Amino acid sequence: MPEVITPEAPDLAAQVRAGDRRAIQTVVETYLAQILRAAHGAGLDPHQAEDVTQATFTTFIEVAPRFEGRSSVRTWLFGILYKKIAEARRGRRRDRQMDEIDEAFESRFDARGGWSRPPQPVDTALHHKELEAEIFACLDAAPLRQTLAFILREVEELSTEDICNVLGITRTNLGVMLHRIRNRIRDCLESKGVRR
Amino acid sequence: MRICKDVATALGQDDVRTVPWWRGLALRLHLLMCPHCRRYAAQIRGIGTAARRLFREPGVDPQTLERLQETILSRQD
Repeated sequence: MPEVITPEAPDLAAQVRAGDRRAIQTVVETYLAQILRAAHGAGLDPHQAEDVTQATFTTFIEVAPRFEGRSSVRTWLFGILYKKIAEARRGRRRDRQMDEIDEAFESRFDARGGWSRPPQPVDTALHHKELEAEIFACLDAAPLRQTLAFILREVEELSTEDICNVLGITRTNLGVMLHRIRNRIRDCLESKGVRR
Repeated sequence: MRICKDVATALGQDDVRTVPWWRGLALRLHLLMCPHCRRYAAQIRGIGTAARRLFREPGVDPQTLERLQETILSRQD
């Protein structure tokens, strides 16, 4: 059954700011699975993802009285999550630059902008472990902001404005990030021969 | 927008959602005529669909959610 993401109640932000326990409970119940899923998608193992999720909501509860309501509660939560994931990934390794993806993309076209190496068939329809493992591996290897941009757009279906607020980037940056991460995943699947 | 590279870039960057209607029309016409870009567009869409399916199904374990929820809400006290 596909998940339906419903809009927030208009007074939720005010109730959260007032420290309303029921409102905070509603936020936790509504967004817990999404936050945990995004933490996992950002390349954290299940244990780390749970820790980061708990830390995100703990911070949310602590700072709720200072919530100004300039964004939705959901966007705000994802913003806290982004900082917590960045802390968790710090020291594990440096997030790599993605210039090689730009080069790989450029190399597929001739001087006039036509395909010199057209895309090969890639099977994204089958629900099998290989596809899942490849997507996880690609997301894990990518810089955090690109991974989260992809998860927030494709899985959580946030608006462009909300994603830019969460990650602190411009629309142009977001476009470049999405382009890079999608090409990285597509190239991974193509090179691994996950195809029809 | 008649050049494959521009079309592929627009598809990857989600520009399709925001370009003026005439550029959107040019992009769709290009896709009608170019099998390579059509395949690329289908793959970009397919990757999004696959990610939604992989992360949303079968969903997070209810017991994990319940345990986390209890821990988090206990910190309100």
